Amino acid sequence: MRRRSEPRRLLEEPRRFLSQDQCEALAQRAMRFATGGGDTALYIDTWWSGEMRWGRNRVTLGSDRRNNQLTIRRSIHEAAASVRTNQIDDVSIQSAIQAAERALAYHPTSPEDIKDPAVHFDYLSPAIWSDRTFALGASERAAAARALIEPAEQAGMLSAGYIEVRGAGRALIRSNGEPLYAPYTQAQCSMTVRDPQGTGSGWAGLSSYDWGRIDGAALAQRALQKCLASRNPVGIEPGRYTVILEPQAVHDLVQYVVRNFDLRDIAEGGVHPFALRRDFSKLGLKVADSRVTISHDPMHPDLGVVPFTPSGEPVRPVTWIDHGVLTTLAYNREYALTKLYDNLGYPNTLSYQMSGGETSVEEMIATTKRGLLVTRFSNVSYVDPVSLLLTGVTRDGLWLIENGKISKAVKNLRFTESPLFVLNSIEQLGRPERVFSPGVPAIVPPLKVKDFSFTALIDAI
Amino acid sequence: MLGAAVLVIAPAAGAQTRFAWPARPAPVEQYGRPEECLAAVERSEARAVWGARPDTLSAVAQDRASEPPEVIEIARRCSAHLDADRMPASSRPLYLQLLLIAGRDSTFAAVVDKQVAEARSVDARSTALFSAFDVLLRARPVRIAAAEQLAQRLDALGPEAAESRLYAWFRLAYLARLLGDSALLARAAPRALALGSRVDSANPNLIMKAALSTGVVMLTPPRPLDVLRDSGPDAYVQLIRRKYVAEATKRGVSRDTAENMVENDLLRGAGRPAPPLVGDYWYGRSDTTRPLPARGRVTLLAFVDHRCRVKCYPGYAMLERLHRRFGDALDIVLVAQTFGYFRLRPPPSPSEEAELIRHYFLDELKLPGMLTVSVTPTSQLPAPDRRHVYGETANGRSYHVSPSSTEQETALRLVGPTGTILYAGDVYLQGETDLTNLIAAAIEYQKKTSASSVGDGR
Amino acid sequence: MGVSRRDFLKAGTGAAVLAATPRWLAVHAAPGAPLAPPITDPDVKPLALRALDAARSAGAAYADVRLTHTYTRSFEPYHRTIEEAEEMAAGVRALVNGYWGFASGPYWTPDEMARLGREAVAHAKANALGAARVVELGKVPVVADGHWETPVEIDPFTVPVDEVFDYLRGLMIYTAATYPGVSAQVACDFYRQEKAFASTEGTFVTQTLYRTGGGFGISYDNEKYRTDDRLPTTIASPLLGRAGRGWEYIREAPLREEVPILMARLEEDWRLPFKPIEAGRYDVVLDAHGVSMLLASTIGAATELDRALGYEANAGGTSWLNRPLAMLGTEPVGAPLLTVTGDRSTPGALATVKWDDEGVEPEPFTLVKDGILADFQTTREGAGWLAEYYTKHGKPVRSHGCANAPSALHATMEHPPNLAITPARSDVGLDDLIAGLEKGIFIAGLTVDTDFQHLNGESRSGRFYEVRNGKKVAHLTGAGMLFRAPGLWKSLTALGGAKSLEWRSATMPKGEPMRNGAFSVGAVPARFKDVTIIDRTRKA
Repeated sequence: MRRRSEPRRLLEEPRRFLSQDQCEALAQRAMRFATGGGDTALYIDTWWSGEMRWGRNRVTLGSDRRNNQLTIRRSIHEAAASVRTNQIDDVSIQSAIQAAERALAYHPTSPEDIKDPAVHFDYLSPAIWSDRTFALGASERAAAARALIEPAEQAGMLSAGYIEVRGAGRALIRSNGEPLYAPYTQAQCSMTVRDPQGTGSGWAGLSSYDWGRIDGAALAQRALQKCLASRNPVGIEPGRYTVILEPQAVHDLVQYVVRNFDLRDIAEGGVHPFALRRDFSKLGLKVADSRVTISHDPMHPDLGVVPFTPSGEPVRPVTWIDHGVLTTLAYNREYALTKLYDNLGYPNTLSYQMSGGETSVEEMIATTKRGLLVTRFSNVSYVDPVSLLLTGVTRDGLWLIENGKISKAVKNLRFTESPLFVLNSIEQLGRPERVFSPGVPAIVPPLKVKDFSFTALIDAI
Repeated sequence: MLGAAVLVIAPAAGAQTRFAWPARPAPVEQYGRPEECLAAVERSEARAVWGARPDTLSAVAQDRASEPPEVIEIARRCSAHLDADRMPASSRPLYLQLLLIAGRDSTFAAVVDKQVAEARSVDARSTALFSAFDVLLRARPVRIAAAEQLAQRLDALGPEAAESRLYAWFRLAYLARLLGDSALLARAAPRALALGSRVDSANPNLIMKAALSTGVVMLTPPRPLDVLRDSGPDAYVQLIRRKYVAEATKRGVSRDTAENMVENDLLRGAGRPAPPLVGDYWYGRSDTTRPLPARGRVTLLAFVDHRCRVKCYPGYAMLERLHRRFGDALDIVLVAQTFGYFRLRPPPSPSEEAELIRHYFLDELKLPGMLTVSVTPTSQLPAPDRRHVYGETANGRSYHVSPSSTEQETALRLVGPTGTILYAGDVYLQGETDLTNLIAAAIEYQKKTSASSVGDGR
Repeated sequence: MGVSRRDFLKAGTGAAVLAATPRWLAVHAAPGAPLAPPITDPDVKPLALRALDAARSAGAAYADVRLTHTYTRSFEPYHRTIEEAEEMAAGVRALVNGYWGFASGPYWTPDEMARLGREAVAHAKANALGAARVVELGKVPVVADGHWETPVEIDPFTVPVDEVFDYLRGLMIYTAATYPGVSAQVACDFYRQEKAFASTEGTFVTQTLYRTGGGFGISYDNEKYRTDDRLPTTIASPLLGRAGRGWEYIREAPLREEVPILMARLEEDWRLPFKPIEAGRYDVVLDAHGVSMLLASTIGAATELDRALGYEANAGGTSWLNRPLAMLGTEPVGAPLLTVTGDRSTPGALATVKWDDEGVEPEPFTLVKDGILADFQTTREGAGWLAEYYTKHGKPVRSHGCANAPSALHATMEHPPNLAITPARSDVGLDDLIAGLEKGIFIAGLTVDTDFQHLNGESRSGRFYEVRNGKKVAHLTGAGMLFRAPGLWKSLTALGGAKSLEWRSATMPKGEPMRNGAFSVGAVPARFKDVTIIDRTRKA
């Protein structure tokens, strides 16, 4: 992997996480202890995290945390074993390597490694580092939190929320391959505003690698407005409703579709939402409305991810669903080599982008005779993994729409629905936007969907 | 700076490290149950194999007939304090197993005797004897004499134990054939067959199948290997076919069924003429003009597969032993095919893959013989599935060998000097004696005929 | 001359050079030295005090420090895999003008301790610039030098690895040899956390906590009995879970005897016919497992005080018991036969400690008394929030010792203690409860999903049986249970007796960043009336 120019802030001392040089030196020391032949790999996740949490309008904790997670893997012949430690001194590493070698003797076989050092991959250089994020110190975070709390407090509401900025490095260094290292940052901000009587609740949140791309003031306003507008909800009958799902609500469902873009299960004969029958996938078949395209380009300025997987495979652009047709399911390099005669797999990083349309949420509301506006879903779990049937509840703002207007706040509902049904029942799509999805960025449109199934009234607010 | 801190620490003896394991060994002397001892035995076996890994071929080539000494030692230490009387009945068969691994055969016999003496019914006695018999046959080395004694004791139980007796004698006969022990075969096989017709529940077809595999018919002269030695492959195959079919029909199996059984269960392609090998790449073959398998030579075709790793090693070790034993008298041809990939390297071209295959089998594993590599025709499923589907290679088609089987185990074909297939089957270690005898007989015939050809003055 | 571990741990005393040296360099100077001192090592305390000194001199009104060394080893005997992991961490928490700051990292060096102390104060101060905030820490007796270890019979880390494998594989060998067609799956893992806690109030305590987990199940393929492909051929034993015990937890479980019991349970299942569920209201019996899951995810979560007050609003959510001071002592949360206690001193339970992560020695307390909300789970700060109630009722304003964190890398927060439902005085067991059900449903192995207030919920998994005249007569397909927590607990009509009490392990994720606190739940089987049963697979 091409050596990256070190981010400026990283040159500071003392370092908050291990640099590329440090990781490589660490790995070199480790390799020297691995005397029993075979191959050694170090996967290092080294991070610093600056956090700020508040509740009831007061900061409850500001924190600075750092750690190095080393996974040391030894493989000899066809056996492999790994151990984890967060210590980087010689004795610790030597002990860990010895532990891995001891464990090898119990565990005779394992899948093959990527062995050929001659194989060279080109890795992308996505936008994943932001000096602004890394520079956001304790006092800046405290000031940000105060600014976020203020509007709610002035309105007599209670705010709870969380800001996290993170600077980290991920390294994979192998005795038989080129060293990989990627520094990255993550930032997230989210808050919930409730009225003191507990009759209304609003939420807003956003994540990005770049703190500068999170408009805190807008989030604070949004959460407050949602709280105020959601107060004193009335109960309505569960049933099938036309729903307008805000981008976050769409993400809360569609992320389950993205998680299932996996060919391995199908190739191994498993039952799976994207299996047509035994050993055959639904690749090439229409699985969603033709306006739906789900893809991921790591070079998209808002969709950057670490450009290699823990096993060293390069992350590359992929289109999972193209105009409603399932075109790719994730597979690893082994599958690519043995089944497709390709050299590269399509790892699923869970980061994605979903296509949208031009309809604004306001227009969606205006064109709805009777329906519900959903802020987000919570406590989602599988009912049936094969049909992808999910259940969960609405949270932090649910409104009834009557004759093109929001008529009243309504009590939360439990849904029982499949996101695949949602992707096939779309009436209108809005402009895709970034949503709250820390570490796995996603860009998702709002949707108007018909016949969404709510199965029970819940009175939690 | 971390980067500067490179200082190698010599691993001091007994240095306390943080991933510390208890220094004391597993207290096998205190284990309460035989199954835990057996687990310890398994563990030490696995470690023995693991320890031998860097030179796996030679490890599996070692005599597999007895347990490694460290395994015997563990079994000894772990079994010394166990007492059959104080363990639940369900653990007793496991205890018996352990005793044999420990080489404590006399204790084994005593425990069995006690169990039989305590048994209150014929049924219970036969169960006790048969389960002990079973353990003896699974032991390494296999305890044939003791097992035969138990089979005789089962016989003494009379008609009530007929089913156990039937299985006991069949098992003995089968083992006798695998080990090439013709005296035992002569004792066991007729007993088994005789019992088979007496057991009501026994199905004549199954009995015959069992009889075929135990080689009952080999007992009456002329014996097939004698015929191979004296009259050649074609007479050998004809004799097998005739004798087995006759034996089966005599025992009430219809002629059609009998012929099918002989073709499918016994010959499996033997008797047919061996088609010439076709290869896109040849290695280690000096003369490419003569067809292979060569007329007048005994040839062993080993359908090897580079996807099959450790589990194929025992078979490769056998090839080495056969080569050592027969030398130039036996042509060994490794028959391989491309799959479009090799290990986890980028997809190679067919010629690159052939070279990788050559390197693997001839340089790394140092297998004896010539090597041919066929390019496997593939077709591709339409996008977006794009999976490659294998077609057949000419060699695979003509010898009925599929890549799905070679991925699991090397397939073997033995071709006699007249160009007739003599043996079609897989490698299994226990069948090595059988295969070796067969090759020896074929070579003897080949030598005799070539000598007589010379004598004929041709 | 080599430098010993003691030297580099020692802060300041003649080891000035070393004190300024990062740990890894110190290590190079001491080849082969044992690097992780036992937590009782006399040099650990100076290390901890160094962080407190740094925090105090930086302006902390209160500070505490934790050092943790966590070690796990897990065994999977089928593939003979053994996994090991180690984590060392130090974390300092400081209070300035009512605001908390926290800093943590992986190194146990004097320098790093000082940095963490200063960093924690800096974070607290950054926040203290805003609106005033008052933190009153509940009083806690100072323990100057305490040490405690989970009382285990056999320290699992002293058991030779070979012995563990032999034991586990022995079970597999035994099962396969004794019961044709049955294979056993078994695994276990060990956890040890050494931790030190010191506070500016003068407390210094160290603990070594053990946890042992295991799983045992069988696969049984006997097509003779199996009537339907939907029926499982594998079943897990309830005997093993996770506990604050040693190797004896695995060793002493009668797993061999469990095999025929599990086989019988599968066979019984296979013989019963299938019936689609008819939605409606039914009398329902839950086994102890179901009751423990229900308890943990409803009352267990709802009585977390920080949730109840809205501090968790942006994460896991709030609680339906959202006005603690108004509700304590008056709010009915269940039928009068329901009493729930919390206790972090229960022997062998997962959350059991001698001192919590604020140095508080926990004691048993009652959360629900005869169906009425009696208390909340508290930390030292949380106890202060309820001071009004405690004072009015003559109770001490004292933390219940619920401060907890997975390791010193994480700040402490309130996590559930071990929870237990008080069994009925009678000697009723699960079978009696089912036998007493004329027409109803028995749910085995219920797990539930609740909403963000732990108020409304639905079953996630569990096997539903139709019961007629005290007998299981059919499997109910697609069945689910829908409930509103207080309503369900109020419909409780019977509980099992003390003999039917079973302990299960549970975790409840919370916080930002999210973390889990492990705890044990003791529960008995129970009967509820008029429970809403739905067809779960049906959409609206």
